[in-house]
Amino acid sequence: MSAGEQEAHFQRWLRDHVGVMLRVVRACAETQYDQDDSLQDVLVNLWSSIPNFRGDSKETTWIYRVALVWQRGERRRQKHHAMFLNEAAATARSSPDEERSGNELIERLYAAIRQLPKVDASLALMHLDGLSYQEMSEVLGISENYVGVKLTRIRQQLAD
Amino acid sequence: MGFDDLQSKWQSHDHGARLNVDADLLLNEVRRNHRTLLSSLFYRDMVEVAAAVIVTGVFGFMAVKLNEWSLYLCSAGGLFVGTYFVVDRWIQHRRRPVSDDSPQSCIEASLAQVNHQIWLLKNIFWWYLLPLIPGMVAFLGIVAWKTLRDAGPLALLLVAAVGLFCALVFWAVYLLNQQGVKKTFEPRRVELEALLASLKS
Repeated sequence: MSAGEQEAHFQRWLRDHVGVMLRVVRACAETQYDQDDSLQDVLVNLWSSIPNFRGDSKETTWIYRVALVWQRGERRRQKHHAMFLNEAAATARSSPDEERSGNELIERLYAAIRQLPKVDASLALMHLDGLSYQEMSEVLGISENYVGVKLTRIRQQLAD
Repeated sequence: MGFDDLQSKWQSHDHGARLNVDADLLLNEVRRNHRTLLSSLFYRDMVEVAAAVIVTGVFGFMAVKLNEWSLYLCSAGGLFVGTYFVVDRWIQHRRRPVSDDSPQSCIEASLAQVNHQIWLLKNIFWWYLLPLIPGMVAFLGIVAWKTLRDAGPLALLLVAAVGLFCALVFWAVYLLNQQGVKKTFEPRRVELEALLASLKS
């Protein structure tokens, strides 16, 4: 794969799947600085993984794999300060009160996910995003039965 | 609120609403960091092999110039260490499992790498220090014998000081590597094993 093809692939994934990556980093890091740093780790891994992507699995599954593999925290990079995530004015599509309570709920969910062990946090995130048991088992390399057992407990924990 | 309600609110929420991504800056950062990572790994390996090549070359050159057999031993020690570095990395590269990029196989691959690093550093005496010792001991012994013969017992103290200095350097190298195992690799192994256990249990 040429560098140009790799770059084009990367930009397309960034455009189409940045939401998945943002959700993963927000589920792992609390502050915007840490999220920025974490996103950088995810994206470096994603960039490196492009030549290995043969299209056998869905792009989303692949991106979850890469993003969640980063979570194992095996590599600690030096902190950098180039902030490429910027706060933007939220476009209000609902009333301010509804939006505030919705945001609070989502923030509490992110906080609860951050408290879970890494594997449970990954499962919680994918389950909330609506991935099937089969997709989750493919991403994490564990059996569907085990996914089910884990999710029963995680659903209870998050609902509490 | 039940989990299904939470899931529904989660999916209808715009998680990126508060964040904009500066794609150009991001791409540049990714490129730069990827290059930095690759070059730092390459640089580290090059430094290790280059040091061994220099030791081999310097002692080999001195051995030829001075026609001193003990220096050939030193040179051979350096050659052994350099060759070991290259062969070990080549074997590790070939042994690297074909990963399906699932977290489990990535963790297993990382764990194998960490275990190998621990093994290498714990056994650094055998493959890094010991091959250099016979040449050093033989060379210092010959110098000590010649000094004793030509300059008397007092000059022998200088040779003993050099010998002691070399022994201390070797001991420090050994200790530093054991510290590296203890402070860096053992905690990483524990973390990876715990992560793997949580996937398998």
